[in-house]
Amino acid sequence: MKTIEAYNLTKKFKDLIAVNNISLEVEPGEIYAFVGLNGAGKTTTIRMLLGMIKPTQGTVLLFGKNIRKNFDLWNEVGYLVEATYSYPNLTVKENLEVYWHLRRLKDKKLIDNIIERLGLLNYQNIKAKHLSLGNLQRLGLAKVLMHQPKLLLLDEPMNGLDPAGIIEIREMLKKLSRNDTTIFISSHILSELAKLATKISIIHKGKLIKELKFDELERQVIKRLIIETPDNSKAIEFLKNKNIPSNINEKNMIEVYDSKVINRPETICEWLVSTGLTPRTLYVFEEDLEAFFIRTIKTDEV
Amino acid sequence: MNELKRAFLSELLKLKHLSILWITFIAFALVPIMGGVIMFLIQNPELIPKSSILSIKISMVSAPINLVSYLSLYLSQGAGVVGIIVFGFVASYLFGREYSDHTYRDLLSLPISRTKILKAKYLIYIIWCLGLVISDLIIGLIIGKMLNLSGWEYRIIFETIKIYFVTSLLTIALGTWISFFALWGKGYLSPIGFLVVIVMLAQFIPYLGWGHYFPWSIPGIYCGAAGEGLKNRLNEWSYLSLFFTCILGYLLTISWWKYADQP
Repeated sequence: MKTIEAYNLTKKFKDLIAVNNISLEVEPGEIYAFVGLNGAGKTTTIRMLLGMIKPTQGTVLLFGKNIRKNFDLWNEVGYLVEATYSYPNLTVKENLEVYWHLRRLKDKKLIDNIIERLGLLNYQNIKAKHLSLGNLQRLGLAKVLMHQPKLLLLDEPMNGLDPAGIIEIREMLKKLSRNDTTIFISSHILSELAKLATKISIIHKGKLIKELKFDELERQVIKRLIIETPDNSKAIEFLKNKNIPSNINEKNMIEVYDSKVINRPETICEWLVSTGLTPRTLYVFEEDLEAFFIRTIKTDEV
Repeated sequence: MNELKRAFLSELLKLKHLSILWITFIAFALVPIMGGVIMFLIQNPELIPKSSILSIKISMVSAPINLVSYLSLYLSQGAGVVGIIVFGFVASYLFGREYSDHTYRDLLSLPISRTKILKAKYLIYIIWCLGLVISDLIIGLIIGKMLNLSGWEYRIIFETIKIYFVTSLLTIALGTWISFFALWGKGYLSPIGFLVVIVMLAQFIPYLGWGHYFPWSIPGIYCGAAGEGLKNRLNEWSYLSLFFTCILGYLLTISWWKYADQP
């Protein structure tokens, strides 16, 4: 059984089509990264998955059950939509108590456990209005994780966290995923998603334009071998004679696209050394998720 | 039942450390306190400068100086007229705060139904307003004792207190429209705006002769603030109009919260 199934999701706000016929499936234990520019339709999709917005068309199933028909598995779901907010007059612990009641939980230890797990021990008696942005985000995540859900829907969960906090949350999410928690995550920190996701989908102007597993992404990203020698023109000539296509880039360095060469850069290095063109620089450049994302949406626009 | 209980406990917890709670009690207490000051000045007219506005105002008070007239003038009429504003403020705070604090999304996809969360809010609203009503009654009785007002007859006091509570309940019932405007307008501004309009209409419509059918005028008319003549015009249709207005407000609130998009 799939954790999330969304079929033909469409949402129109008067004349604006915010989400256009999106279908997606998320398997148990998967970390599904949802990437898109501002206004691409990420948040609207997440809100439709949570039943906060009624789709103009389409169906959402969580754990195989339609969320619009007596859905009773909300305690298996934890969500954080856009910025995290809490009751400003209540302390960290009291805020969690509110959700402890609303989630109909029985074990009070869950509150203490999550406070400890998210490093909020020193802040548990501080009112939310006095917390820093990072600690507010931790409190938001504590609300999401307290009831140990099997599915997490996280919209920008890294917002406001410092680098150490980002690493901490990333490791926590990885650990949860290893324990079969499914994570649906959107973030603008694409480098973070690249370290986390097992599947990536790109949404652009309301449409899902790419969906691929992480190993497929590895195959689809552009790789180049970058070389700099004392005489790049001579080196280009040498490579042409060896039937290796190459050219000089804007930084006056040689770029080689041949995948056989890219996978064995030591061979080309040996050839260049033997002809007296010892490389000053030689490395494999790999397109990151950010560059891949930009290239994909530009291709879609063309 | 357990769902409602847990929703209620969460709502109760949200009131912790709230200064607004005490502000409403202080604001509502001003009604019997000011009434007590007027009663005191009527008892001691030599304390008022002769040509002052207060002296003119006090000379216009024709009611006898006893506990019953004090309670009906400053408690019941307070609940029927000032109550619309204060109870409306309480409802707009309770229902509008989720939007003002941006916490409303956290209440939408939970194992407790959205309707139960609103029902818990209504329970808190009723308890909060009844708390205000009872505190004013206690303050009123203390002031009555301090002023040595005559007429401490159990039967008459009971009748006056009954009118006070019925007036308060009629006023509390109208809070369902404030809750609807708080959700529809996503905050405090719309319900407060609605309140201003409705208070003005509640004052104006009785002049046209239809006050006994206008729900927001009915509590004021019932407690006698608009005079005995108008009170005698209240009939079963008056109370039915108030009842159906309250139910319609409630249904609109629940439907909006349950079915409208919450982006």
